[in-house]
Amino acid sequence: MKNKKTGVNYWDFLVVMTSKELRSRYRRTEFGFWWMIINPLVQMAVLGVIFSAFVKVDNYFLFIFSGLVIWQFFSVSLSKATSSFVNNISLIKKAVFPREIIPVSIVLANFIQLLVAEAILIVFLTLTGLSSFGSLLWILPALVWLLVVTLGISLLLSSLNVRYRDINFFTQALLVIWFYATPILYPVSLLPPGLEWVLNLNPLSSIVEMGHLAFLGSGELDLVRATFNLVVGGVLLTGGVVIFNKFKNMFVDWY
Amino acid sequence: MDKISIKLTNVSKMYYLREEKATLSGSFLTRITTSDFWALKNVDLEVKKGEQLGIIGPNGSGKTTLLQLMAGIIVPTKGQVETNGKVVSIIDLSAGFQPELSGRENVMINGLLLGLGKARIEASMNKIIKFADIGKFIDSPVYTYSAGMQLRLGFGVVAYSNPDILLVDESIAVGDREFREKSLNKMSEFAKKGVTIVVASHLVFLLKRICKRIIRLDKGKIVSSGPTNKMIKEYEDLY
Repeated sequence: MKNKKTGVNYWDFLVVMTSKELRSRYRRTEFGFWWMIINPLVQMAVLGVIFSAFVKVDNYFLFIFSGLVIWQFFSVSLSKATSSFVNNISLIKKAVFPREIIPVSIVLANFIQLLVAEAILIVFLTLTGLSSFGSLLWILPALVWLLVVTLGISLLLSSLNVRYRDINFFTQALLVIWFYATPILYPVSLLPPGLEWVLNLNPLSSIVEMGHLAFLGSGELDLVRATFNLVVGGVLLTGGVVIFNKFKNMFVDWY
Repeated sequence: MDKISIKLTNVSKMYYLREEKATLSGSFLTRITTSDFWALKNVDLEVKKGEQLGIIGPNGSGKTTLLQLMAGIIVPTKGQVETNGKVVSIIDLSAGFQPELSGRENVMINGLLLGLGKARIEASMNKIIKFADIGKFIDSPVYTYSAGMQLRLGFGVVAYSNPDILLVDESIAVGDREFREKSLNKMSEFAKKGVTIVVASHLVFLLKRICKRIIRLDKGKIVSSGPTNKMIKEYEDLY
C-alpha cells in the first residue's frame, strides 16, 4: 500500500483508522466492547426460545450462537461500510490516498471484535468441555474466507453507494433477507429440497457450516455447495474491486 | 519535468448540473434534469519548481476546481494534470477533520493523510499544537471548534508537513490578524525553501506577499497572466 509517486507508506493510516473505528464506536458507553458479546447473547436467547419449538437440534443455543457471531460481524460490517465513503468525504477531499482504506478499516475493526468474541467462545467451550480442539481448527479457514468475502462486498456496496444513494437502503433490506437465507437458525437438512439453490448462491452458508463444525463438532459442509459459495464470493470480490477502481476518482464529483 | 512542478495540458472539467424542479405533486416528487457545466475549459498551465503563483477571478470562475485538480482530488474530464512531488492542500477548511475526534487525534489522522509517518507526527505534535495555539480545545472534539480554530489546527499540520507543492485557497482568511501573520511567515519560509505555492484568492495582502506571478480566470478560462502588482491593478480596475 504505497503511493507510487512519493513512496508514502499508508499502513500507519490504516492502523489508526481501524483503532479510531473501534474506539469511537463505544465512546461514552458503559459496557463498551462487551456489547459485541451481549448483542448476540440476547439474540441467541430470544431466537433460541422461540425457534427451539420448531427446530430440533442438539445444543441448539450453541448452534445459534456460533452462527450469530459470524452474522453479527458480516451485517455490522456491511451496514457500516456501505455509507463509509459518503460519511468520510471530508478525508477524501483532503488528500490523495488509497481510498480503499476507509471501508477496509471498518471491516478490520469489526474483524478484531469478531476474533475476541470467538476467543471468548473458545475459552468458554474449553472450560465447559463442550467442544474438542480437533474440530475447533475449522474456525481458521472460516474466518479467513469470511474476511475476504466481507471485504469484497463492502468495497462493492460502498463504491456503488456514492453514485446511487439507494444502495444504503438496499443494503438494509438485503441484510434482513440474507439473515434468513443463511443457516443460522436452522440446519441445512431442514430446508425443503427446492430451496437448496439459495444456500448455493449465499457465499456465507459454507462459512456458517464451518462455524458449526468448529463449535459443535458436526456441520453440513458440502463440497459442491462450498465450490458454488467460493465462486459466488469470488465474483462479488472481483466485482467490488472492478467497480471501486472505476468509481474511485469520481467520489468527490458525485458527492 | 524536473524544473516543472505542476503541468496542466489542455485540461477541461465538466460537471453535470442537477436541476430539481418541484412537480405538481409538490415537494415529494421532483423532476430532475441535468445539464453540462464546464468549470474549466482547455486550460494550459505550467508552474515551475519553487514558483509562487496566484489565481484570481470572480466567484465561480474555476479557481477551486483548478486547485482540486492540482491536488489530484478530482480528475479532469479531458486533458492531463501532472505534479512533481508531495502535494499538500488547504482547500476546504473542514476537509480531513473527523468532527467527533479530538484535535490531537485529528492532527494524527491529518498528518497520516498527508503522508507523514506516525513517528514524525508524534515528534512534531507539540510544535503543531503550539503553532495552532488553541489552548485546551486541543483535547476536545473538533465539532466544538470555531472556523478560525479549525484553520489553526489544519494549518498547523500543514506547517510541519514538509510539502513540495502547497495549495491554498480563500479559507485562510478566517484567521485573525495574529494568526494571519504567523501563517504568512510560514508560507514565506516555505517559499524561501523552494516550495511551489499556488494561492487562489481575492486577498490582496496574501497575493502581494506570497506570489510573483498571477493568472486571472474567467468562466473557466485563463484570460490573462503577468506579474503580481500589474495583475492586481488590472483586476481591481475590472471589478
